[in-house]
Amino acid sequence: MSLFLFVCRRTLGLVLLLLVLSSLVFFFARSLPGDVAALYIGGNAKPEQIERARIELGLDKPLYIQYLRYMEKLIHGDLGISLRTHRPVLKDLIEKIPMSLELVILALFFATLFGVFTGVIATWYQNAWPDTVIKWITSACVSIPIFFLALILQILFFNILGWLPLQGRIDTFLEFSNPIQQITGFSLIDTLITGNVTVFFNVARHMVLPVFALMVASFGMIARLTRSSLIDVMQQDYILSARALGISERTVFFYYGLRNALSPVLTIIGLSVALILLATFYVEMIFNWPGIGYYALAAILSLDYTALMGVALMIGTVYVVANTLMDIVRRMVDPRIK
Amino acid sequence: MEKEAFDILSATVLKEHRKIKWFKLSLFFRKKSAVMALAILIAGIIMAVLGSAIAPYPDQGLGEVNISERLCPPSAAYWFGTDTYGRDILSRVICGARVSIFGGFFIVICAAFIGVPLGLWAGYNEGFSGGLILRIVELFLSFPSTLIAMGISLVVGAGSITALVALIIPWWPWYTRLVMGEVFSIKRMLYVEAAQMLGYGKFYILWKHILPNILTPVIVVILLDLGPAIIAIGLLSFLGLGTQSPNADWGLMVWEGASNILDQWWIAIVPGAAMFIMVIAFNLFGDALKEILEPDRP
Repeated sequence: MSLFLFVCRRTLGLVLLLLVLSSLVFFFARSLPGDVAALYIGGNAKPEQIERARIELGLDKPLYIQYLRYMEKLIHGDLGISLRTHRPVLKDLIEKIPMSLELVILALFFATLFGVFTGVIATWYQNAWPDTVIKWITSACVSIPIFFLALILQILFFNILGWLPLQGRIDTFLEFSNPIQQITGFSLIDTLITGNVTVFFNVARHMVLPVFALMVASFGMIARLTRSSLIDVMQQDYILSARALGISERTVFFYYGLRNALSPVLTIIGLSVALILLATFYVEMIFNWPGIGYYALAAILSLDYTALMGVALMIGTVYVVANTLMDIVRRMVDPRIK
Repeated sequence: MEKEAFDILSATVLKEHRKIKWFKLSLFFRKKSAVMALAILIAGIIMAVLGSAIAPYPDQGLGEVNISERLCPPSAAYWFGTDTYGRDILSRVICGARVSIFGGFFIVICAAFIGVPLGLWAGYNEGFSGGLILRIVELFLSFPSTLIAMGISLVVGAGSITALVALIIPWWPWYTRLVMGEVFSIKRMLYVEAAQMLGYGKFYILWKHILPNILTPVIVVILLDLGPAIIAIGLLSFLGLGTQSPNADWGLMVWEGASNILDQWWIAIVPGAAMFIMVIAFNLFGDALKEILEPDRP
C-alpha cells in the first residue's frame, strides 16, 4: 500500500472515529443524572420557568431529533451554552485551550527529549551503574501518582526552598502593571512578541513546576521504552554485520541502532498526549492554572454537562488525531511497517 | 525395554524442567529490588486484609469524627498526625488500603477474565464474530481509557464499586488485543494444526494448546498493570468519582489534604506516599518477573 493510500485510509478512519466519538458523547451526556433544564435555569426556579428552558434547549423533542440537532450544531461549531458560566462552550474552550496547550506542548517536548536521551544513556552503559540509577529513577517516574508529585513539588520548591511560585500563571501585581496582550493566547509567545520581558520570565517561572509535574510520567515511559527497544535492536543481525564490517561502534549505535529503535517510541508519544492532557486536570487544579483541566474539573463538580461534552469532544479529538498522526509519521519513518 | 528407557528419559526431562523452574525462582530472589518489592507487597496485602483490626483508632479509620484533636501534627499518639476532622491519618491509610490494593487486583483480574477469552476467540476465528470483537476493541482503544471511566462514573453515580467497574470497562480491550496478537502468531504452528487434524474441537484446542502457550505474556502484563490500576483508582477518587467520604481511600485523602498542603502537609502526603510506595513495589515486582519469564521481549 502506498503512503498516499495509507494516509487516505487513516483519514477516513479518523472521520468515522470522530463521528462515533461525537455520538457517544451525546448519549453519555443525555444519560447524566439530574434535570438539565433545572440545572440550566439554576436553583429556586418556578416549574414554568424550567418548562420554558426545556423548550428553549429543545429537550421536549424526541431523542433522535435532539441528536440530529446536536450533530447539525456541532458541524457549525456550536457546542451549546455552558450551564455554569452561561457562555458558549466553544468560546470558553478557545479561551482556555492555549493556556493548557502551552503546558502540554512544553511537557511533551521535554518528556520526549529527555526520555530518548536518558534511554540512550541507559543502553550505552547497559548493566553498569548509570543504567541502574536510570532504572530506579524511571521506575519511580512511572509509579508516582500525578497529584502526589504536584503537591510534593509545591512543598519542596515553594515551602522549603522558596525558589518558585506556589501557583497561578503570573504574579498578581504584574497582572495590573504589565498586563499580557492577547495575540496568540500563548502567554510565553505573546510576552516575547510585545517585548514584555519581566512578565515573560515571571510566566516562565510559574510554568516550571506544572510542566515538570506533567512530563514526569511520560518521561519515564519514553525512557524505558527507548532503552528496551534499543537493546532489542542492538541484538539484530544487521547490527552484527555492521560491526563485522568494521563500522565504529558509535556510528552503529546512533545511525543503525537508534534510528530503528525510535519507531515504537513514536507510538508511545501519541499515547503520551492523552496521558498529559488528562494529567492537566490534576496539575491545573493543584497549581491553580486557568486552563482546560481546571475548566473540566469545575464542570465535573457542578455537573455542567454541555461543558463536559465540549471537553470530552476536544480531548477525544486530540487523542484520535495524535494517534493517527503518529501512525502516519511512523509509517513514513519506518518502511518496514506495512 | 523400550518403555523403561522412555520412562527414565521422561523422568530426567521432568527433573530438569523442575530444576529450571527452581533456577528461575532463585534468579528472582537474587534481585535485591525484587525481594524488597515483594516484602512491601506482602506487608501491604496484610494491611489490606486486616484493615481496621490493626489500625490504632479503628473507628476513626472508618470515619468517626474526633473534632477536639483536629489538625494535630505527627506525634506519639498520632504517628502521622490527624486530618481536618481530627481522624488519625495512619488508621485511615490502613483502612483505605483495601480499596486501592484489592481494587487493583479486582480490576486487572476481571479485565483479564473478560479480555482473554474474547481475545482467544477473536484471534482463532477470523470470521464475522472475530472481526466484530476486533472492531469493538479498536473503538475502545481509540479513546483515552481514564476519560471513559470518568464518564461512566459520572453517569452511574460515584462510589467505590462503580469506580472499579468503570475502570474495568475500558481496561479489558487491552488484554483482548494482546491475546489476539499472540494467538495470531501461534495458531499456524505445527502442533495446533496437528490438533486440528486429529479432529479436536475449537474449545479444546484453545484451552489445551493455545492458552497454555500464551499465558506467560498475559500474566506478565497483568502483573505490570497492577500499579497503573492502583493509580487509576486514585485518579478517580481524587476527583470525587470513587469512594465517598467519610470512607477512607488514598486518592480521596490526598484530595482532602490538598487545600492544607502548606501548613498540614501530612494530611495529603502520607496517603500519597502510601500509594506511591505500593505502586512502585508492584512495578518493580512485575519488572523483575518479566525479566525472568520473558527475557527476550522488549
